[in-house]
Amino acid sequence: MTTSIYCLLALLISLTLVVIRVIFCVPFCRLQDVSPVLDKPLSVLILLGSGGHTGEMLNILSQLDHKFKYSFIVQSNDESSVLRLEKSQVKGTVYTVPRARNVGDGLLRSIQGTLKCWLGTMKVLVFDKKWKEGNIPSVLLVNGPGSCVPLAYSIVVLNILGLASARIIYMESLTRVNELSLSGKLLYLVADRFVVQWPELAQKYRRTEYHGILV
Amino acid sequence: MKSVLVTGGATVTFVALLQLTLNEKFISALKKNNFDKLVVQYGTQPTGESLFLSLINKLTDEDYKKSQLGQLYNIKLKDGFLIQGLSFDTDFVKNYTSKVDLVISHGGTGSILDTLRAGKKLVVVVNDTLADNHQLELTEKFAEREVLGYCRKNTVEELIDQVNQAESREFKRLAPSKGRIIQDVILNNIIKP
Repeated sequence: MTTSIYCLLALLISLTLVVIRVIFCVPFCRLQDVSPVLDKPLSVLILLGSGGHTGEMLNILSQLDHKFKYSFIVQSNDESSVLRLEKSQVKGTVYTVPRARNVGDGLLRSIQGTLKCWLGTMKVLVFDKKWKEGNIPSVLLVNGPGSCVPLAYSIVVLNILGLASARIIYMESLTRVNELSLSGKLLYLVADRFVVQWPELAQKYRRTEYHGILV
Repeated sequence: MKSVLVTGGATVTFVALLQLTLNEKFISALKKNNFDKLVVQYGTQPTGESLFLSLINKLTDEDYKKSQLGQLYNIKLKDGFLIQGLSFDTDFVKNYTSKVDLVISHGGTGSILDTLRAGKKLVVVVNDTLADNHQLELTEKFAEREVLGYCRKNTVEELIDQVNQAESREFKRLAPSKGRIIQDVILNNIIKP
């Protein structure tokens, strides 16, 4: 009898701790915004997705003049993103991860591919040597390719586990004028800052912010 | 020399846009607006060049044949009206967009922004054959802000009407890009408005 009460108590306490931890880590639950630590060049992790998203991302990055330390995650079949990155003024370390899916893949192949891609990304995030040598990101900056969703949620989990401490900044594409994209909706609650490019969207979604057209 | 640029995107040929602009009715409407040059960018797909040439051969007695890819076609009509055709140019904005008086473009985000930021008048013909119709939504949003004109039905009459309107009105200027604000968001220097 007493053992089961202790067990229940232990369970309750650990559950409470988990809840408190989640409240401190998940932006939507947090009471106030946290500032990044600014004692060294801020490391920004960026996911380059497909054509249009890569274009908007590089366009925005080329307008920044602060010395950020950029790291890019690119899928292995996305040579065009790498080429466009090389052509642009933006410089940083590129990490290649397995591709999520090929056009025409069936459901099973897609799931398998997505899993491989995610594992590859996790390997980079947790174990990569270059990473450990001061590249641990303070900020994850994404703008909506589908593959940014598992990445962002992985960062959230790593944050909760104490293995990372990165803020997530989401930028919605200019083409989204009346509705958030699916990626946007899925990341709405876990993004620390959510920037949209049309005032109509900012009026509709309380957590978003509008500063003008970014690209 | 007063010129108009028709651009349908880098790769895929926008068939309807070429048909709407490379015909006698449209060209005579251009002449009425004192244009004497029409530049057409038809895309890198081989079908783009063949379509361009077949439409050109309906406008002139001379027989224009396909030559090596990447060249610029120069076609002078009997009354001196000049038509130029190209597949694509890597320095498109610098070499073409910035040199014309009016742009007629597909509703691609890049194309709209490049044209407006170059300070050119713009009429958009939305490519309704594309799978996602974000282009229409985006074009409508820009039109609400009175920075461009656009065709709703994609007929020659409507396009002519839009060109006439664009010639007689002043569009509002699009505000410059605010991308630099992201720097402040990353550094947490600005609070969410």
